[in-house]
Amino acid sequence: MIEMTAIRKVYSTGRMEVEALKGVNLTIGRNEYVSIVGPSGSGKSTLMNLIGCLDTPSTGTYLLSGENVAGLDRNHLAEVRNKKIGFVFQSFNLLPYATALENVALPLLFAGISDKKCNERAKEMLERVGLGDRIDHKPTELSGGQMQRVAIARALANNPAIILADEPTGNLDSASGHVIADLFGELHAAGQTIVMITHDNGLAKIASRSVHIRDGGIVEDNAAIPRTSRRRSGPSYANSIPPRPSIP
Amino acid sequence: MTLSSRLAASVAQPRFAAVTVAAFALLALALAAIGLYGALSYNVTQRRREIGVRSALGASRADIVKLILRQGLAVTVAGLGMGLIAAMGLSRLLGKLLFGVTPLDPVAFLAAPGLLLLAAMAACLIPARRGASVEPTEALRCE
Repeated sequence: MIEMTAIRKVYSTGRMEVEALKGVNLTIGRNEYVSIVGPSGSGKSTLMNLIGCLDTPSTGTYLLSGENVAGLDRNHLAEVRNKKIGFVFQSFNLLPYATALENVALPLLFAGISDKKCNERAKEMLERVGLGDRIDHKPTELSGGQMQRVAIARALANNPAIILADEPTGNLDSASGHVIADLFGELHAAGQTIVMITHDNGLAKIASRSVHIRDGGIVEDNAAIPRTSRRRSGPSYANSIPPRPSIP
Repeated sequence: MTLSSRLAASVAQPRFAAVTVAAFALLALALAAIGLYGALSYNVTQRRREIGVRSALGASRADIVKLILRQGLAVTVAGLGMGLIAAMGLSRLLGKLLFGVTPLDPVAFLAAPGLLLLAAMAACLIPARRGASVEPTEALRCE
């Protein structure tokens, strides 16, 4: 599914060059649920940009579903993002003036699908995330958890090869965070490949594999527990985080 | 005094009026184009994040250019429609000042909006191209 070999990313800022990724090798198979964990400045956002074809590596090869995407031009990368990757952002990134249905239909429109089919598919995706009764609501009329579910429906719209989530519970209260984490668990159980960037250890633990990144390199790749057994009876988000201390 | 200079003197006043009106019309056209360019440029700046999101979701450069052009041209077409209706209504007042053309001269009524449309398209194209160059990573900039 994802095969990254010797990926380097260098940013030039005037005379200085910053090496954000230093020869990363990463392979992610179909139906995996991978969390990429690392502190701020570790290179995980750069890695996410590259996995999501939002940016291209300075050197190295990146095969996504067998296609070398490292050297593609901007329009081809847009096509790859549209068809193969579903994004879930920390701050949802929904269009504020559009309804939930219109937001979910957006990637379908870019794929050149007719309006009628777009609406049918968008409605189907909203029903899948439990928001079938909110299709005409605008983001301002939805809670944070609901907005993120709309974003997940949008990510699923084009039936992508992978869901790429960047801190998907970062802007949510813990109850909504649990709902979203459980939704990701359900999607994974249904066969969806998920790559999640997070610094939330609780959220990272529910993934079947944790990749730790530091100083531009992978320092730990924890796939010790067999993925299949995790998929069948994966830990829930609620069980993966320690109980909160009671406030007197 | 020659015949041609007599003729020139006799039409000097209406010619001056015509040149002045034409100059003001060109100025109005330039101001409209600059205004549209400014408004769209501001709008593109305000919508950088949205454009980044659209790009991240798979919008091509052409999709972004079309989005911004459509917005600019919608305003232009609405303005042209209102302008044409007003021009048709006011053209009767100009009837006595015109020679050799009718107040509802089809050439004038096609050429003026056509020129305005071209100027508007040129004004929209720069912000549209700027919008199309917004990187998809812009969607994550405030994450």
